[in-house]
Amino acid sequence: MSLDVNLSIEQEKKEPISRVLIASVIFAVVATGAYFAVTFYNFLLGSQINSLEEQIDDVAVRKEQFLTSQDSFAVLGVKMGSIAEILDTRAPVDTRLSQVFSQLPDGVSAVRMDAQADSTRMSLVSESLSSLNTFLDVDLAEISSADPTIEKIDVLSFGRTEEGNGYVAVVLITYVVS
Amino acid sequence: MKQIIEYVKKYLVTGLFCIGALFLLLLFTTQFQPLLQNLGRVEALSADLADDEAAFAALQQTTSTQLEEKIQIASLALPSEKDATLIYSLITTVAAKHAINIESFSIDVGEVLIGSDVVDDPYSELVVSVDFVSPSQVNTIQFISNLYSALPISEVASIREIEGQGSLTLTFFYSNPIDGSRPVNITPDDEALLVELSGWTRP
Repeated sequence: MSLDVNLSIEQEKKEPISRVLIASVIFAVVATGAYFAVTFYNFLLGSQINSLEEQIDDVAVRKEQFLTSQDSFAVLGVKMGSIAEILDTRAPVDTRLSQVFSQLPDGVSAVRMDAQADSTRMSLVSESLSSLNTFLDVDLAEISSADPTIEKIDVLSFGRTEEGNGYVAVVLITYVVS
Repeated sequence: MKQIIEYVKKYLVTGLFCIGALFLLLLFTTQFQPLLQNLGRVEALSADLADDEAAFAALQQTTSTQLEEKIQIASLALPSEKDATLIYSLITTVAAKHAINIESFSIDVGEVLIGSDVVDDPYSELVVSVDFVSPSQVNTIQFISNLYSALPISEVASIREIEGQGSLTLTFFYSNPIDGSRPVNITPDDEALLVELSGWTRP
């Protein structure tokens, strides 16, 4: 009777080890299966990518053959390439001037402006010192932060007008030219 | 002793299986990043292919009338020759809209090509100088802005204005004869650009 009890206890001690072993085997089998499944799926995706790239190249070749076989399309294609390039690279002098002049406060006017692809130079006059000062201190900083192509802004001179009835400042905005 | 060896064997085997399983799990997870990348690439390429095929089909279905219209817009934007009349007409048209008075107009014709001269660049430049009188700087800026959305395409090389008296240097462009070796393509972006250009001011 006592022997039976001992045997029973021994079996209970073995059981946790076996369960861990079985669980790890199952886990290993599942992990292996999943690994190979994912690897295989990756391989299939790689083949699909190659196939899609070939199809895209094929469409491009057929498209170019079609375009070059017809003079009108060839003319249009070359012109559009040039137009896109010109528009992409032309200096946005219009938007730069609009941006600067839209920020001029009341009472401040530009008596002289000189703009090129890489710079805008302005002579600003105002009867009010505070208006001109506001533009130089606040508005120029806003202009600078709004346009990432601005390299630097220099106030070249600041003083009284020749007539003595107002103030004049000369501002030079330099742009980054790519 | 035998019992100890038996226990060690079992624990060792179980431990090894556990380590092996964890290693496989690690390997499995390393496959996830390339899997996600590949899935994203397949999706992007499929979209590209569909776009390319649609664009090609649209090109093939372009009627000769549509093609002529497109070429007309492109040729107005980028003329095939130095056309002083067209440029003068554009500048005076746009200037009149903004009460700008053109005082003088000159074109630097530049190099003159003879016969079969081959030019590598797909387009060349033509420099135009204009002296004008403007009622205000707002008018001058509107004039410039309008020129930037007008055909033929131009670029401001420089503009100077002192108390209403201004001088403007503009660069216009014209296309050179097509070199057969140049790759030709018309993309959906080009089609969109043509639609945009068709709404621009014309002389």
